[in-house]
Amino acid sequence: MTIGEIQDKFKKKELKASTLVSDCLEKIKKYEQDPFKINAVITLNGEKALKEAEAIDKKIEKGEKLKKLEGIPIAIKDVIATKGLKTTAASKILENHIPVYDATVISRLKEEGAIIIAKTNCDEFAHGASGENSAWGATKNPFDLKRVPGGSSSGSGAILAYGGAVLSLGTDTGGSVRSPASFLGLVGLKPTYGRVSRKGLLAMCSSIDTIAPITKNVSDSALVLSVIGGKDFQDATSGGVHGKDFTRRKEDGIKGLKIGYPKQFFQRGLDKRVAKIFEDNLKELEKKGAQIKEISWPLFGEPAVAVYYIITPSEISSNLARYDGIKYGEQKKETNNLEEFYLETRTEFLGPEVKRRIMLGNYSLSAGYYEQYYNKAQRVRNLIRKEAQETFKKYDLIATPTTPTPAFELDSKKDPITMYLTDIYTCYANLAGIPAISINGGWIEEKTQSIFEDKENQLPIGLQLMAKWWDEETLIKTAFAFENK
Amino acid sequence: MINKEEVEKIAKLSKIKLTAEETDNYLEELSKIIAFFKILENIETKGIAPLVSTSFLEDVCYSDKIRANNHRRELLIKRFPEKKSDYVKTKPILNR
Repeated sequence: MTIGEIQDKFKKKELKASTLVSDCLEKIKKYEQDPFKINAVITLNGEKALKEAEAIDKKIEKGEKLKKLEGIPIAIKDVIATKGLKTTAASKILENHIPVYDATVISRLKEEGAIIIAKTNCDEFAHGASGENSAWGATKNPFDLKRVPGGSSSGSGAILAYGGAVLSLGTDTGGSVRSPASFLGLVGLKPTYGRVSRKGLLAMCSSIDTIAPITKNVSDSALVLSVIGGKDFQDATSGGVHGKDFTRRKEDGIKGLKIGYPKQFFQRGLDKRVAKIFEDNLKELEKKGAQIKEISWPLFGEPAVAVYYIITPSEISSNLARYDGIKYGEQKKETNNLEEFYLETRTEFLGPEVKRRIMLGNYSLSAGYYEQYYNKAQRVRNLIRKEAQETFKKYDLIATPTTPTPAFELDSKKDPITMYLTDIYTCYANLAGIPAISINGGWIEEKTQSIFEDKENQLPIGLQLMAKWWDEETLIKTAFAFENK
Repeated sequence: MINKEEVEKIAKLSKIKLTAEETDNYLEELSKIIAFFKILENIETKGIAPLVSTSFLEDVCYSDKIRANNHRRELLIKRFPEKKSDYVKTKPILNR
């Protein structure tokens, strides 16, 4: 059901908001404990959520008009500040941290009546592509409990997949919303950099971070973007009109749309079954009227991954310097002087992947290496943007699979490079700043330990579409056409 | 390639303490990652400026007006892990 359909049921008295929230809470209770232990939730906001839902029920009874997201339970990735509600970034260093303000996206969601039901698990400070780097342990994939749900917005994806919420908010810096969308059969929409305010987002990589919706269908994605998107004076990198309606043109259709696919996506590590589904996806788009052509993007793939893993750790090393135990967060009190205090606090409370990235960043930025790594990566990033600019003069969209394989097994990618390479198709869009969407492209047969009786022994895989800067509308109308084939 | 001394140096820059075992592990991992970066050496970037951000915006400002007091100051002070009246308290910088 879309948000529109749910609100219709509210109005027709076929469903109460409090019933919807109770159902979600029951699912959370069921799947967060044995035998499933999906581990998608860090902090539950159940009591408040129910109270808010009951207040909305009274509004509905009086026949009052409903706001855009009124009565809809939404799960929020735990790197987004929620006033009065614990926000930990899945890190021990913020284990008891309660923000004193709402992120702009949260204020905007609340203004439209959304009900925050939970703060979800993720890779620590969003550093990861699988959900395995959380200080609270990995989140599992509801389609196969032995596998990862994708990351870093792992909990946001998983909670939606098992029905603990109707919408989710995640973040996407290298593919962190598209990866779970691919591994969980959901819609993950990474907006243009700057489309959604980052005020209140615990910064990871300030020149790349985006806040992105994860939803069950394209309509909901467009609606959430309409609510959260647009210029915010508190984020100087934000732009676009606040209140722009992204649902308006979703049924426009894609006749004559020019879609390219980079031949460079045929790389080692690409699962044959994923390649086959992608070919079928392209044929579907052609049936709907699009023109498909192969293009060449030499910087797509491994070069983009190298650029990404130089730039992001560099910005991380700077952004995470604030976690020093002084103004907020955990601290190691039994130290003698300030230097020792910083060292002991950070060493004890930051996780291994976080440390790895901070050190990698400091290495790339240090004297003697700055030119060879950081500056070089920034120059190649410029080339990536130019490459994309040239391409979008001739094409409306670029298509690829979202990930080279379906969800992989927990604990199977111990080598950092192997893990980083799971971003191989997604990080290009982040570096260029362009919007991208992942929608379900198909299902792959694989023996699984699924929580769903009607979806066993199948793993979803995503189709990714990328558009030019500020053109989320083309992504939405194409994804909608594909979804409703 | 990165050596042990360099790992110790960047750990210090990062304000992170490593055990001998951790130093060896990070040395191995960071070496692999840095080796992967070699792929960029073959990409010609002569005359290409570093791109710091993909935002096309420039000179974004807002007026220096006093906005409503949202009592955040009190909330923030209340939250200091260690404090003395309105001041956040830290460890001494210099040993006595």
